[in-house]
Amino acid sequence: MRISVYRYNPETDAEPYMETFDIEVSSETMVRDALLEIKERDPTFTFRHSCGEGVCGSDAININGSNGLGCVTKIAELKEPVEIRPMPGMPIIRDLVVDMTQFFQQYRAVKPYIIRKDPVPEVELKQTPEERDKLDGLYECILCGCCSGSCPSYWWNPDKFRGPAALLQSWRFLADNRDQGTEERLDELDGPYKLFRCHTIMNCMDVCPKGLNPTKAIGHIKQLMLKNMV
Amino acid sequence: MSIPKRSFDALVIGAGGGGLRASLQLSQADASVAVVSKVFPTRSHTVAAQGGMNAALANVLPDNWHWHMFDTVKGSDYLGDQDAIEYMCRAAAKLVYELEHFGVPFSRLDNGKIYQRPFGGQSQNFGGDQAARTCAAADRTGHAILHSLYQQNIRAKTHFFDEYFAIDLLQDDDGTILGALVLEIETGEPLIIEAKTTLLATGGAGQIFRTNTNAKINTGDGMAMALRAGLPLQDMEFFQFHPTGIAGRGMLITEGARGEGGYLLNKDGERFMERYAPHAKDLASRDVVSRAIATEVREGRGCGPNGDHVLLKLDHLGEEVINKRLPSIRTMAKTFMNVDMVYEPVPVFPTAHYTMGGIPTNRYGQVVTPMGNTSEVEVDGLYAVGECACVSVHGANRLGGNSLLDIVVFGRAAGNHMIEYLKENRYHRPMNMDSVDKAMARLQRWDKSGDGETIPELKRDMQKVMEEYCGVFRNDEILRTGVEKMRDIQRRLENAVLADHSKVFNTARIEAMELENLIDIAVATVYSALSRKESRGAHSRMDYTERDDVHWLKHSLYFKDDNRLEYKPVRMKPMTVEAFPPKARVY
Amino acid sequence: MNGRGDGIRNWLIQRISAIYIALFTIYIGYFFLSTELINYQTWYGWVSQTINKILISLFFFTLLMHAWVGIRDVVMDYVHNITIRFILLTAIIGLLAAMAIWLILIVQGVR
Repeated sequence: MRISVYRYNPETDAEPYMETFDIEVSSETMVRDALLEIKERDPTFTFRHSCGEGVCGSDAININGSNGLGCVTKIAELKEPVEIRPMPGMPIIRDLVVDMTQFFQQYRAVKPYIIRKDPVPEVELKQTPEERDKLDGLYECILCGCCSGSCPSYWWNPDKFRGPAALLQSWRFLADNRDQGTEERLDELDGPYKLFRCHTIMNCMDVCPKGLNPTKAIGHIKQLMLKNMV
Repeated sequence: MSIPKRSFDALVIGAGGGGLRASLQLSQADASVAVVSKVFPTRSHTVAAQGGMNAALANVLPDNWHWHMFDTVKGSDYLGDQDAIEYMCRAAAKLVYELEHFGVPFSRLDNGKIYQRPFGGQSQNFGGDQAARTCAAADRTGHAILHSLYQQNIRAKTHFFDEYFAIDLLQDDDGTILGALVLEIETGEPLIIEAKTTLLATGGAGQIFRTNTNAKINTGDGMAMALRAGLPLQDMEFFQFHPTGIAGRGMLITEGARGEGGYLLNKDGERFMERYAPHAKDLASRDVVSRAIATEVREGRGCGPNGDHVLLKLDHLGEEVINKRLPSIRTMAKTFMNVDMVYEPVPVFPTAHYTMGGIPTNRYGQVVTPMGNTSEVEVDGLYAVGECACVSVHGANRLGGNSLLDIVVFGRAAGNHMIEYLKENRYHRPMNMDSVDKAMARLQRWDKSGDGETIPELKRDMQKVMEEYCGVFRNDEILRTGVEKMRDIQRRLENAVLADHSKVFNTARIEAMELENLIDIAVATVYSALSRKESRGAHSRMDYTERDDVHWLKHSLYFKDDNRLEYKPVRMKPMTVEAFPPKARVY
Repeated sequence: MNGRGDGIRNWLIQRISAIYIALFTIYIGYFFLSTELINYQTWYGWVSQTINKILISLFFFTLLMHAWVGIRDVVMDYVHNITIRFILLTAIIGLLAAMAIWLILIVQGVR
């Protein structure tokens, strides 16, 4: 199978270029396996990866124009020639490796932790199965960046718009009955940029390798803001 | 060449659950903490833990910490240190509650309490009925805990060095640890991180085996750093093979799958665990189940065209339970095996999973080494927790659900002890530039160019040697061959060269240094295994089939120089309760 | 422009104005469909009714608000130079305000 990969080494290349490899694949070969094969042929080829089973979130890349995890994408199911590029909207460090500093900065900015005002009991805080169910589809986020890296609003304003990944986490805590930081979370998200750059383009939910839906979470935040306003 | 230097009170190497729990404790005590991690913290391998974390909360069935302690001691095949085990089991409930308060989205019972599932090796009343002790967030418990701990560190404003690779520990002539030399992966520039106290929390070394459940990053970097610093590794012969890795591929299927009611079948459709563990059956401890599966396959009762695996049956649980309790592994089996466990069984085979051995520590996380006539002397300024450490709470075999507990309990304990240490050690000691030069030499060694061995090929060969000569069944001849072959690989490593000498994000160089670490650990493992002439826990010798408490109820300590082995006694005396004396281990 | 409630307020304006514009379109559509003969006379008569004058004024008002929020969003997405953005937004406000005045004059001119 013909695979074309994005190459750029700032130390040696004036311009990025695409390099093509022919790789033997089976129906079980993942994109990551193919990339490892390429790296074996050319050890200078560089990409991130770790767990190989879609739980660590290291190998988010752009595969045939759509962001996804290399380790859980079967290459035989893709249209040939397969084109592999770094995630768009993030500065490129080398080959498929992008600089995700801004992405994590936005994550930190939404205060992704339980805020408690009241003292906690010496046992667990109670949560009914129904209350716990509200966190499903939210807490599973692996911070791979596929969503934010596919969001035009995030491309245009990565410094000001929190992006789908961070906003999904914001809602994860707003939706948690143990959290008591609703007011300050909503205040923090106010203004035209942090939340409201979302124009419901919905690329985020299309690409999420864990099947999560940040657009819906953003909608929930807006509704809650409205409810708190009136 | 002058290398930039940053100074902190404490340096934590590794940002998995153990490192992050320790750094949180330190940050909350207003110590300045640097956490160095070669990947972004939430990529650390704690994220892949599925089944849960043990604590005797008694939310589902009657339970108490003392029963948990008994199970852990028995699970360890009596090689675990009973003071540390008591400490861990006593702390468990409190630390689960604390994690819950940190925001971990544990699954819930109808009464709003934390959901607990049965796991292997758990019993009520010291060996009685099955207990349900494992607190779970569906089958993503490690993910939930790691993310919550990272989030708490964000709140506590811990200083992170993401994508920095630790090259070596820095030490002065007295052996006191002064920090570490690290490499910024993005720029390829070295950096000295000076610290009054240093914690190793670098995880296990599952990558020494070909088929493993571990991530690519699990290369035992901290263990190898300790070896190079002249410290021993303890009990390295005990490597856990998880019974249910996806056959041929290695991805983990949680023990929780059997905890929820799944069971194993051979090619005759027989529920064969009934023969090996009449009482606990499929929930016997992992070494027992792994050996049983391997035996079934060896004796020709394996499934599939090659008869090389057994089947894990789950379809009787129904789609609702599987979606609720085991959603991730359903997806994983679909992705990697095209098997939907709601309708068909999953092919499984024991897979390298967990390094029981590691850097010897006491229950405060302080690294200890023999000195003169004393078997345990603290190494000044150095701590270790988690899979890279050997406290030892897991002994010869770890119970499922005890590793997430281990990292949280001892991460916190080490953090607390480091805070005490900082009170008495207020100033940085002078940096030892010889030690820096030595560490730099390790980095510069890879600047060599020309022809030679390649790293991926050497790694493959090492993993094959370890699988063939240091696997589930061992004997003297096999292990001796393993030692020879590993020494050969060590020699080949000296001739290895890199084809990529660039600076920016050079992963080839990182992989080369990781392989150096792996080979050191593989050698430690096979030497320790050859020396222990008994069968205990995960270490199973066909030429010494019985446990030998008279000669071998002791920890082994492997030193890198001369591949020397020393031994030290097991701490049989708990903190407050009566000791559990060794008994025959049946499930 | 980062005042309290600014984000949600604009978001709300956009939605409410959209609803009004949609409803008004149906209303005016009904007028066109239900009126057999549309000529200047009937059109003038319809517009000169007080209720319709109010509804039409409201329509133009919401339309301009809707346009303002939308154009502002586009400018904020794509124009990152603060000076240029300021000039652009000022020009757009000026234009929209001029339109508003003009429309008021027209509607008021109908007697």
